[in-house]
Amino acid sequence: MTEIDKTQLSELVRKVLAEVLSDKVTHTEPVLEKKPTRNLAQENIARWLGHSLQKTQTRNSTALKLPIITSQDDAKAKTQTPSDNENLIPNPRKPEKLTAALEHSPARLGVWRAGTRYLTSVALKLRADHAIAKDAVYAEMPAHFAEKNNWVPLTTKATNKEKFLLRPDLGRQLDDKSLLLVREKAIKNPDIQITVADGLSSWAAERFAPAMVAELQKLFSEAKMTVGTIYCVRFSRIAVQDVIGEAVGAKVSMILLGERPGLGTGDSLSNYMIYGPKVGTVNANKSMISNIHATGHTPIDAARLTFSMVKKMFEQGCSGVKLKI
Amino acid sequence: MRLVKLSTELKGTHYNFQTVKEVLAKANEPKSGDQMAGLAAKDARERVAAKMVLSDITLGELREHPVVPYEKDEITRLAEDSLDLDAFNKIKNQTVSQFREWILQDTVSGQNILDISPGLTPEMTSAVTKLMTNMDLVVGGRKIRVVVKCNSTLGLEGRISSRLQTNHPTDDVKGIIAGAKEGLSYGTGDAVIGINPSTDRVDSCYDILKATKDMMERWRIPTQNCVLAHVTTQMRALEKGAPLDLMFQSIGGSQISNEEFGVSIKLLDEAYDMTLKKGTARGDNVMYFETGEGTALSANGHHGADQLTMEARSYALARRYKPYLVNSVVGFIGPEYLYDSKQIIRAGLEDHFMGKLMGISMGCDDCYTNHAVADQNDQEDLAVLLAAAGVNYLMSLPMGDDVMLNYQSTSFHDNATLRTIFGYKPTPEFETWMERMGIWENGRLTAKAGDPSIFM
Repeated sequence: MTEIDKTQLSELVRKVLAEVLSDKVTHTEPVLEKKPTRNLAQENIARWLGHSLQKTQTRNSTALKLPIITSQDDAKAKTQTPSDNENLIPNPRKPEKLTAALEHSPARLGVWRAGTRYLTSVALKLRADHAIAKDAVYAEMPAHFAEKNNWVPLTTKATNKEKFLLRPDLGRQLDDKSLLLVREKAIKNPDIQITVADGLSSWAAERFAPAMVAELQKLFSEAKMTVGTIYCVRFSRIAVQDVIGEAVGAKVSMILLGERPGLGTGDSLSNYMIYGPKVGTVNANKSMISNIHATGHTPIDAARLTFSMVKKMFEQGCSGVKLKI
Repeated sequence: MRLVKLSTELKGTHYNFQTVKEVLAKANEPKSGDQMAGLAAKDARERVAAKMVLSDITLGELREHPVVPYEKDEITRLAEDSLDLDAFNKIKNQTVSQFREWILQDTVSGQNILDISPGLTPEMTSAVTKLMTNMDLVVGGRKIRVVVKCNSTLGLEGRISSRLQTNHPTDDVKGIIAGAKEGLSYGTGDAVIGINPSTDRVDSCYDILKATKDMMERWRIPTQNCVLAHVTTQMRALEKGAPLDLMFQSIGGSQISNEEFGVSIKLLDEAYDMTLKKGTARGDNVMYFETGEGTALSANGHHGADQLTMEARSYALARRYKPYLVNSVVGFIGPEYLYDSKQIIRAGLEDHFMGKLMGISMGCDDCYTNHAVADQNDQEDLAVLLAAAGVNYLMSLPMGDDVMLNYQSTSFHDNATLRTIFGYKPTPEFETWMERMGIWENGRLTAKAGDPSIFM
């Protein structure tokens, strides 16, 4: 980041803040200037405000999002998003083009080398991020997380983290009490069954599922589609949704589940969807949206993408590899 | 059919097994996946007893006892119906023990082994692997050079290649290309520039193929491009005129596990024909497959067989298409199948050896996930071992960190370092290109290497 004085900085912050905030109201496309300092400021402000300001969108995504993350642990968020690629290459042939290129990827680029090995600083950063990922694997959803979101809590046959990691078969089955609860109390035959689950990152479920579920409920109710009882499952694998979807007789079932932590992202959420859910639905018949996190798809985007995919499922009567999108 | 001997004495204890399949499973080195499936030996002694019984079984007998019945499974039918009988007849009377020693003989060349390879069923391949130590697997694997041709020539002795895998969380092609350029500046990407898309869509598949091909043409890079979407997605992109060198698919060792992936032999045949007709590859080897121990079990398609044998069966499917690239994604599946670095390293060496023995161009995605008991040091250990074993290629990622798939594999730096340690070179075509670009001189990287802006 180039040197700028404090007056310039506060002026920049003020301008960008105004733009970011007005975007929140008007939903317009972001104006991204080429000056890296400005982009960084914009990005940081957006992050403080809980935006995910994505410069790297798929063509279908709208570019700037509504506020989504209600509470984000700043320290964690920073360590988990290594998109702050600093160029460490001494005397690159084309410095400006290099700086511009590095902005397009959150991968560990521009890292240079000691012989053919890593520089010490980047090697230690890698280790630090790995440490976070390791800790994310062993984190658990807080008590009453489901209730706080007005979801119904369920548990699987995996009774602790260790069992959950070593015995995926147990994490695919609801325990008897939960199964009974679903069979007796669930809203039956809904168009859409939504389930939230920890999977391999409870952080992902905690941070992104509430906003995504809220947006999904809004979109489906506007489209006059019925949404069933929303469940939140602890120590859960993807296939729990087969069990729930079949038990309630949903037309489409989806599970919002934390993926196994990577170094850059300890909190990546995915949505797996099935048209006509049945126990034992093969993966080829499941559709998915992955990479819902601070530097990937925002929950709002993911909800909109989900909504458009679900509409296609109803039109084509299928999901998974057969679904044409 | 002669009755196969399924019992032995070990230090005063009598061991009796019921089936060849049980012997195969219990003779396997310890894997958490086999334990989860309830197939593993109950202790170390039973494991050795099973290895002893297995060592006396002949290759002919193994052919008669496929782990999945012929009537039930198209992979078994493929392995049996495509067996080269002349090659098979040369080895059918050898016991697994004799076969192991034959492979390891100094007088037996890699070409000798490749000559009998079409006579091997996956069960034979898996069996001999179970009697090999890790160093056996290195020396055996190293011998067998499987050389393939697409736009460039892969697998020659004294060379090691890599797949550039610069994935992006939202498939931003600019980000993908920025990463690829940095990887190229380290001399990696000579096996393929192969990108996993984050969503399986025809348009992003098309866009990534186009962007990688444009870069290859702009800088005249002698390599291959590939997008690792589902085979049907790539076929649709190909129909729309996407420039595609290699057609990719994940495969497993049984019909059921392939159904889980949404593929069959028939569909793969169609994809193969279409790639030969419409693809942009110049050579005959145009397919790319990924596999991994445990995938059959995870799809509940293992038929009570161990994960090593199921893995060998996926190579029997792969070899039908003379693939340019095949690699197991060895540590990706997680601790429930390969618990820790010891199991991952063992599996990486086994998969490489089995692939080469079955005559396919074998690489490895030497990787681990954050919920396995493994770290960066373990992964580097396996990379060195695989390079010693003459692996055709490894993955090449920015610091090994896949920001889309959330796991760690080998890095630009690791691939460059392996060339330094072993004195290996890239593919001949790529080597010439690197010299022309000024990043390679006298068999090593120059001071310019590591600066992607030379391609900007």
